[in-house]
Amino acid sequence: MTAANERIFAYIKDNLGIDDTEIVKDLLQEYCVTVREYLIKIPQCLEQSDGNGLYRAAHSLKGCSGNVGHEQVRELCLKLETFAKDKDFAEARVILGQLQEATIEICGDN
Amino acid sequence: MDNKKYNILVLDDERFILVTVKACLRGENFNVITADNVQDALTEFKRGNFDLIITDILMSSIDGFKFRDLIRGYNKRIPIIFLTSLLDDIDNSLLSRITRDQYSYYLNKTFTKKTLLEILHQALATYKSIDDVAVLQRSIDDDLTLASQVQRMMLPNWCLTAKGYSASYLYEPMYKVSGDLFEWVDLGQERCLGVIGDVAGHGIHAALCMAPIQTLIKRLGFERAANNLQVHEILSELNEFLCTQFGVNSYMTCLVAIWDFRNNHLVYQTAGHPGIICLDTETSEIRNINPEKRGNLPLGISPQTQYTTKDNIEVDFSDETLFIAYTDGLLDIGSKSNPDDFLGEEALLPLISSLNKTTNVISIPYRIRNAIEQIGFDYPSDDIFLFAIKKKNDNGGIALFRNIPADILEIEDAVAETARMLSDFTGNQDWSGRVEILLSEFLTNIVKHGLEKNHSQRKGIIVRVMVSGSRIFVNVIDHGKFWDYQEGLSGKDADTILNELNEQRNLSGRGLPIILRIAETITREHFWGINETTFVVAEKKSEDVIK
Repeated sequence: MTAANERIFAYIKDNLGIDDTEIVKDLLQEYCVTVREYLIKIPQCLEQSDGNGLYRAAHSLKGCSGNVGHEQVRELCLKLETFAKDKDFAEARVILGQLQEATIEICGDN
Repeated sequence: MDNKKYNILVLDDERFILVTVKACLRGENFNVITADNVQDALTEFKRGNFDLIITDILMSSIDGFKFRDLIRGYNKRIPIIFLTSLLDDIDNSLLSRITRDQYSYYLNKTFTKKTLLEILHQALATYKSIDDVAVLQRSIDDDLTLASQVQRMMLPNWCLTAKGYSASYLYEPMYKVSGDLFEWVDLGQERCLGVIGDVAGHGIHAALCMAPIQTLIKRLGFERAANNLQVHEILSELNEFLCTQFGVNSYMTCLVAIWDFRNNHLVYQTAGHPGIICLDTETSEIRNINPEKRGNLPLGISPQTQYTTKDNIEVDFSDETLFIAYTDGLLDIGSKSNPDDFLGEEALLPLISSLNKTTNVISIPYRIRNAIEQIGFDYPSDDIFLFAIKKKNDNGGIALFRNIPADILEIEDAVAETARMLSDFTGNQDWSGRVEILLSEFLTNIVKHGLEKNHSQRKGIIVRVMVSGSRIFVNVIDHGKFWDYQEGLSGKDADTILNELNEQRNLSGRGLPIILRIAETITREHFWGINETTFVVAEKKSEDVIK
């Protein structure tokens, strides 16, 4: 288990009150499914210069990441939301790169 | 929190959030049902018996607020918790949209088990306490409705048409039950005993006190009716009963009166109660029959209080004297537009003196109550009771007064008997026959279409028939729905309507054109829940009578 994984396990246990390791694993797996889904969706929105779609995707991923205590991803999503609102797709692309890197440690290579 | 398992519906188009909430509430006293779209959530909601809803705001189909509107169409008060991270960039308009609904709450998506449980418990406790209050409220309301019905059963019939006099009263609790009480007993020989009481306060306390006192008055009235009943004796017995049976907070004002309409003599005594208003309907003058302001203390204040004949008020009166009595709730009727204003005696007396001698005494309490509202006093603050009594006067002719039970069979008998008496008096069978047809059609119409379906709640119909020269005046008072004769006609005359009915071979609806052909004039008025209709039937030769 990576250090990042351990942090998230501890977060879920402390904050969501879930002790059962199997359930935590399932939850983390579900989180990674969500991450992968958005790491496909976000580039599509950038490709189509779809600010609204980008905002929604960033917003959803932000919510999920906050929930499992993945603070780095949550903050990147918050920035992405701002660039989506401003339709600043160049800056948004930079954030996308950072997002992909930040999620590798938890969910593996997307 | 109790041990009940609460059913929670969670809506989010993000599957991960649904899984997280469910995992987080595992082992707690919640059944969690999830839906990832609004359609499924609504289907689940309609199918299940949910105690609370958690919903996302920003969803791919409709948003959480529109979902709330849909839910409120089914349930106005179920708590809805909005789970969202939108408030990361805090937005007051979003918060106010959430809290615009009294039963909506907010929880940040980055919740912890502690914050989630806190808000769930808070929302459910509020919902439960409001729900408990609503259940209790409904139960109290049902009890009060029953109490109101019981109270009505204890009161005498709403009008009295005895030999020599007629009387009626209006009883209006401020809210369902009343602390006012009233009884009348026909003592025979054209004498009437009337007892009016007003238990201090209003509402349940006063109404509970009213019931045993009303029973005692009934007993005293009927047991002693044959003996030489004295007004002060009734006050003494009631005072003793109140002082011994109730606490210090239960006193009442009371007025006991005996009218002797054979000798035109009234004797009464008041125990802190408003006196009797005495109107000479021929001169429109209100007589002050108690200039010395005699009276005694209210009942139930002291067992030492002596109620004796020295406080009696005794007056002789003319044939056309109308007596009005009331409880002070009448004078206290306020005005919504002017909260400092209330009716008072100054505004009441002109309304009473405007009544004329031909007005049917039975409708008088309702006419006065109607007029009070018409002059702007529309906000009662206490129970209201209003009573009118007057000697019957045939004015040398014939005046038939009947209280007919609202029943088809009773109507037929009463109408036939009225017609026989009219025929004997006038010697004109056609004339009395036309009155018979008119009355039969009209009263049948009231019973079939105007009155409550519930037979036990039906009040009798008062019919007064007077012959004056070549006119018969038929006056009918009923508690039915108000309907307008002229509107029923739609501008057609009676012949046209009858022809149309004949062409359609229609048997119903024939009453109206028949009545219109018989009556020379029809006046119909509505006062505070009663209808008063007067028909004038002129004497005609037999060939004019409808075939």
